[in-house]
Amino acid sequence: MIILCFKPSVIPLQSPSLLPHLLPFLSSQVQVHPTAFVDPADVDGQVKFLAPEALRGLGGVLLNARGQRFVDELAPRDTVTGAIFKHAPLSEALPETVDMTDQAQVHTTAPRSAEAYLVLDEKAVAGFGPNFDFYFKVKHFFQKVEGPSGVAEAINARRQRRSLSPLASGAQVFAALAMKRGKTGAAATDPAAAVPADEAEALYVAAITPAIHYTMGGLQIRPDAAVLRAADSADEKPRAIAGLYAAGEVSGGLHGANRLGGNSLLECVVFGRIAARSAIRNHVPKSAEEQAHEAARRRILGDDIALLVEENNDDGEDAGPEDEGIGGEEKVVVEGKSPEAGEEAEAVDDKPTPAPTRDHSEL
Amino acid sequence: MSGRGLSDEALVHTLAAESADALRFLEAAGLDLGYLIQLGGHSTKRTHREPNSPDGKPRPVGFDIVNALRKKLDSLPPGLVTVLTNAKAQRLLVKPASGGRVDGVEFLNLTDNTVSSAMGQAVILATGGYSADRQELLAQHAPQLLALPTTNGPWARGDGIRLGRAVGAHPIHMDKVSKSLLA
Repeated sequence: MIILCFKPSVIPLQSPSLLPHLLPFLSSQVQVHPTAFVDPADVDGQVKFLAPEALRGLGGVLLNARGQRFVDELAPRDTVTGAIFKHAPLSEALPETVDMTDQAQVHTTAPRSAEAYLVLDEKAVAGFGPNFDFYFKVKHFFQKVEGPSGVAEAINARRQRRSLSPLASGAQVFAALAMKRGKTGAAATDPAAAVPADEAEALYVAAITPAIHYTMGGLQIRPDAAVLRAADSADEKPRAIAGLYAAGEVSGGLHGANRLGGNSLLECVVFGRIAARSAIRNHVPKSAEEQAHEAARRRILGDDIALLVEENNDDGEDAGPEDEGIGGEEKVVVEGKSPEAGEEAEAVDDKPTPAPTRDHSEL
Repeated sequence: MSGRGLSDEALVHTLAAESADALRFLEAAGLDLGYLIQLGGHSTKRTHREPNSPDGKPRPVGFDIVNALRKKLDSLPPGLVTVLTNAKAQRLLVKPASGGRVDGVEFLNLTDNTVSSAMGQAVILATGGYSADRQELLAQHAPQLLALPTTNGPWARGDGIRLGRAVGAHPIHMDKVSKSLLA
C-alpha cells in the first residue's frame, strides 16, 4: 500500500485552464461557522481562529453592537450565523425585501461583514480550562472587564476603532446576561435592582464574526464509500466508478445543507474504514482459502459492514475483483488534507509532540 | 434532520450505525475519548472528546487521532506500507479498455520536481474540502461569501474534487447551484 500525502505549505496553485470545465459541477453547500475570533491586531485578516463551540456550550452569551442578546447560542450553526448576519451587521443593513424567517434568503443576501460579541463569565472560563489563556493572554482576543457596563464600554471602543458609532449600554448588557441566566421580573430588566456583585463581576468579551468553515458538497459517494459517476441523463441510475473511493470532506451528500459539530472527524473515521474495506473486498484478489474463510466469518459473525458493502455493490461494473490485470496486492491511498487534519498531519511529519497553537479539541 | 432535507439518508444511516464501531477502533489505537459534550444543534451530549491534559489543557483530538494512527502504521512490518510526503497528486489513472476503472495516481514529487505514478488496485481520496478556494470554487458557488474570512488553511482548495471530476465523478447538488443555499 502507498499513502501519498500533500504537504500543505507547498501545494501549488491548480492550473487555471482546467477550472472553467469543472466549476459548473460543484455543490454550493458551504458551511459558515458562526464564531471565528476577530483579532484586534488584524481585524480584516482573511484567516481566522475558530472560537470553539464549547465557549458557547459553557454559557457564553452572544451580543450585538447594542449589547442585546439576539439568538440561542446553542442553536444549529446556520441558525446562529443567520442571526449574526441579521442582528449584527457591521456596516450595512439587510434590504427590507428580505424575508427574515427564510434562512436561505438571509444567507444569500447576507451583509458582507458582521461582528458580534461573545461574553463569558468566570464560571464559563473556569469550565473551559487553562487553554482559555491562549485566547486571552497570548492572542488577546478576549478583554477582561468589570460588569455589564465594562462590556458595553469594550464593545463601543471596538466600534469606535472602526469609526462606527457607539450603541451599547450597560443596561442592555445587563438585561442580556440576566436573560441568559434565566432571571425574570425586575431582576432581568433593572440594573438598579442588581445585587452589587452583578455589576462588579469579572466578564470577558471578544469580537467574533462568521467564517467559511466546511464545504458540505463534494464527490457523491455510496454508503460503501464508492465514488459515483456523473449520469448522462436524469433517468440513468448512478453507477460507481470502479476502483475509486472517497472519505471525509472531499465527499458529498452526508451533511446536506448543515453539518453538525463533531461529524467531520467522525465521517473521516467511519467512511475511511469503510473505503478501505470496500477497496480490499472489491479489488484485491483473494485466494480460494481466503474466500471460504470470509464467507464463513460473515455467516458466523453477521458482519453488518460486509453485508452492507455487498448489498450496495450491485452495479456490476465494480462488483468483485477483476480477472484481468491482477498486479500484486498493492493499493494506493491518496491522503490529502482535510482542512481540520492539515496542521496536525503536517505536525506529525515535522514535530512529533508539538504544543498545539490552536484549539483543535473541537472540529 | 439537521441537513435541512438535503442529506443522503443512506449515508446518514451508515454514519450513525458505524459510529460506535469507529469509536472502538480509535480507542483500540490508544485514544481516550471518554469525555462527552453537547454541541450546537445536538439533542444530547454525544460528541466524544479526550479528557483534558493533566495540566488542564484541552487536547487537540484531530491531531491525536492522526498521531495514533500514524504510530499504528509505523508499527507494521517494513515494506508493507509506503508513505510519500511532499508529493502532489496530479491525475487519477484509468486502466485502458476497462470501462473507466481507476487503478493509480500520477503525482508530482515536490522534492525533485519529477512526475511518477503509483499503480495499484484502488484509490481512496481523502483530500478535504475547498473552503480556502476563494479564487475559483467559492467564487463560482458561494459568491455571497467571498467577503467572509475562513477558518481553513490555504491547502483547502478542492484538489480531490477536481481529480475525481476529471475521471467522471459526480459532485453532488449540481442542480442546486442557482439556489445557492449555504449553511
